[in-house]
Amino acid sequence: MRLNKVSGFFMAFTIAMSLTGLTYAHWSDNIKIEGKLEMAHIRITIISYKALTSKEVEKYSEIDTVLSEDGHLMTITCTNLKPCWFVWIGLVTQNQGSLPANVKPPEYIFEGPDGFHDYFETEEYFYGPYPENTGFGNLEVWGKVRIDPDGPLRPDGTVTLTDENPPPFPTDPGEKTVIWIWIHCEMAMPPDAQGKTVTLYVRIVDDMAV
Amino acid sequence: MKSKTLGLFLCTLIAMSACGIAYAQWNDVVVVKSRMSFGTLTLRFVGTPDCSDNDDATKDTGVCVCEYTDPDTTSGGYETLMVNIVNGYPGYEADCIFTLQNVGSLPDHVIGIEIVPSMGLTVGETFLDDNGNPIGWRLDDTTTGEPQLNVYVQNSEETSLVCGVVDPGTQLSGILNVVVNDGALECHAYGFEIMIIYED
Repeated sequence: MRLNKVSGFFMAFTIAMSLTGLTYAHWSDNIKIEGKLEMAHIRITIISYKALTSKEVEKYSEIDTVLSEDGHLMTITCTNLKPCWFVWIGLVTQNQGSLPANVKPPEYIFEGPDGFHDYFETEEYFYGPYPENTGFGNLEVWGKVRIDPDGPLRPDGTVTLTDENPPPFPTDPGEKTVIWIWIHCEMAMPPDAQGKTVTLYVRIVDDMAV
Repeated sequence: MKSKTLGLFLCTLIAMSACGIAYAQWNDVVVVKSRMSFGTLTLRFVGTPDCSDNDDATKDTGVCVCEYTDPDTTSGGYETLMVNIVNGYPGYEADCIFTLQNVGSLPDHVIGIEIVPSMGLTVGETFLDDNGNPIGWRLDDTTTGEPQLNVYVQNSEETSLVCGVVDPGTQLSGILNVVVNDGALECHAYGFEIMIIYED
């Protein structure tokens, strides 16, 4: 008898609670806000390159250039260097990201005997930006550029280094830039450099320009 | 004696049945018809949401689009606000102004607001107004703990929607604000769902 009373009370309580829950659920509601966000990316990539030097240097020195798959790192391996050796490295870069990016001076990493990098000097010259649809042949400081002791020459013989655009400067997505880098071996190169190989890495640096 | 008892019983039975007939003849029915309709508790997005961002005047790199979806054909309005941001970057900030209307017949009392971040994000901090009600959240990378986004939902007076009462037929204006933090990752997709819970 007592058990029946307890179970009866329990059943009544359960029924009451379920009814209350049903009522609450029915009289409460919600609306929602859905947000989706896709992030941009910045990427300045080397899309073409050249390594030019004088005929005299070509006679004794081999210059090998390799571009990384992501187009961010150029490796230049040079042999038989001696004082006054030089090379002009030309790069065409393009902003292949989805954001405006600043073109900045590249980073150099020298790999060779300790202290050798102190005997190299570098200078960079920047041109552009050029619109996305500008072909390589139409880049004024790229197609048919010749080398002269004064620097890269246009086909008309004028030196290209006169109308450069000092960095940093912004480039919109798709725009191209030409960079000429002069790498030169100083006169004071020590005698123990003889027979050594130097590898130089040129890394493109990009930065958001928003 | 036995026949007397039987006679008495029969007389009683006849008298009772006679009374019943009389009652049936003089009885009538009054019908009271009652029609009850329950109130409705319905809060919906109405009008057109207005989206803007902090680079509209300069490069206009990031793009923010907001629209209402899931139309409620019964009571009008929409059940969902969709906000899509493309080409976001650190420092990017987008605002979406929306309008809620009580299209039901009962007062709506906002009792809670909750965010559910997408996979890879977790709520790092909840921002509260002066009354201790939530107005926003910082969403962090689940793995690194690096702050990725700040998301705010407030009313036009920049306080929480929670505890707000929207009477039938009236509107409540709100602002969704999304800020991309410095730790946000390139080429990454983020998402979140915010539930505004209300009762009568």
